[in-house]
Amino acid sequence: MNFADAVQGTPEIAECLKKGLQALGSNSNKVEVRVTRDLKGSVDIDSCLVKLYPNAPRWDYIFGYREQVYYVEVHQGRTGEIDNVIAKLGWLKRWRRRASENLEGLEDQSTYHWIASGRVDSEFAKDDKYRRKLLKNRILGPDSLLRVDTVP
Amino acid sequence: MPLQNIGTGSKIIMERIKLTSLGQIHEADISFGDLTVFVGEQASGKSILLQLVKLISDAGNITQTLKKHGFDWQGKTKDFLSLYFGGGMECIWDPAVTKITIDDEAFELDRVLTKKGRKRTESLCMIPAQRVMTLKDGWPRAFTDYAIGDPYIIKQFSEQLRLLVEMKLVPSEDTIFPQVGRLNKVVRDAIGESIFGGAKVKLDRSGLRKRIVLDIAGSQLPFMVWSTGQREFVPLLMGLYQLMPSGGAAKKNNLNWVIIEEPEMGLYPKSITALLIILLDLLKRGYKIIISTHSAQILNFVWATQLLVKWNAGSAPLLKLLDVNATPFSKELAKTILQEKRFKTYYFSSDAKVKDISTLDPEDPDDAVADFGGLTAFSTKVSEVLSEAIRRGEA
Repeated sequence: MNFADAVQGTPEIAECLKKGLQALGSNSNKVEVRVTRDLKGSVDIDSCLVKLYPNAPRWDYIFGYREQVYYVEVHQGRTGEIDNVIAKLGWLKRWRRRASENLEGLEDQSTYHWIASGRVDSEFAKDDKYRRKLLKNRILGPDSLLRVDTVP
Repeated sequence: MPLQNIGTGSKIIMERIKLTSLGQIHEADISFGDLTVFVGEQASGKSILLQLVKLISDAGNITQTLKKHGFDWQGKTKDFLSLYFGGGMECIWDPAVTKITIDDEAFELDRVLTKKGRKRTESLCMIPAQRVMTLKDGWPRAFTDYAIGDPYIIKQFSEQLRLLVEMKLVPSEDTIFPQVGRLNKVVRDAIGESIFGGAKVKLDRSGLRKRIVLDIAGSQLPFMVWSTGQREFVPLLMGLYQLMPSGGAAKKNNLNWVIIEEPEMGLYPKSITALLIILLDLLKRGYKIIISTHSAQILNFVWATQLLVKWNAGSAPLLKLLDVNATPFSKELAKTILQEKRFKTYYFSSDAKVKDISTLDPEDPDDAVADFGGLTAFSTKVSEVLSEAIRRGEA
């Protein structure tokens, strides 16, 4: 199943699928792709689900590029925010398990990214427990720019 | 381990050791993994515990070796402790309060030392932290060259190296490293490139003197002008040769355990990566390994490998971590490690307890676990201090 079909088969967000990176609005300039025509669409999960889950720590965005699915959280890039970002990822995964068997099925092609809002204003050491905490939860970042084609 | 096998050199299992009041350690309960890592501050008891494991494993061989070299403690356990752990160290063991159990059976030193009819084979190879001292004059020193108060471990290791070179257990061409057939090419290449930069380690027996030299394009450099890392690594490598026989045998029959104190000593991170490959090779050969370390890199490796196992990530990321190409040997090595070998990590804390930090979980509220027993505590502090400065507008 491809990204667009997976989203359209998920009733809670099907109506929110936008072309390219349009769903990211002004944050789309924080994502760089080499071939824009390979973008498969995007969803602003946060806005799309605000009415259904007003008090939940909602994740921000999801988009498809080639065969891959990218989950993106734009958030202050501080060590003190790590637990909040991890909490959002936890919510996202619980929501997805319940609401979207399709996206769940694309897990092997999915990566999770923390993009710093504004500049990356936290100096994460390469070798500290904060960096490891993120990696343990499979969150890449925080980065000021997501260069999609260089994601491993 | 059946009690009757303690100290006999028989094939020991020794899955768990519990102790109270030994030297600086008030309490420890250690279950061994295939690789067990000890971390902790200086003088927190790591070395004492490692020497204890050696004593438990090889008491028969140790007493025989001491006697062979003319040492006699005349049945006095305290004097034996002084001979074994080193002068002045006899006080670390107080028979009234020191309690040790191995796999739930009491270890009684007096009984072990006086037991008759023990086998004398050695089942544990210990490579001590003071290994550089063994080659002080460029040639391994004999057991009896050391002072009576020097620890047994250093004397015995030094003697083993001496026999290794004196008895020409290294090939006749007198090249210690590299030796084709001694280590797998993957391991040899990693060592050769990162530690010796293409130079050879040789025995120089020309004239009246015997010495170990580093041969760089025909120039022979004596031991004292080598880099610190090379000086530290060569005795370690020679110790490893005892464990990795040439001629295709995976391991030396009688030896089942390896202890290496601070294997990273003097090595640059790239060389530590080569060292990790060696440790994994030893594990694959069937040895159980215990190391003590102050290297965050080694703990990072342990943590990452545990995650790769959990994520069922396959061999490729592990090989990438080790900077190793995919060869039949390296793929088999990675597969064995990921599928069969388990790691344990213990932190020797300042409150004299030994804590199991094996998860190395960065989300654990206990910083001893999250910060690898303090090895990455400074990096974590850097992040915290700089983040705080940024928030306050100081940057």
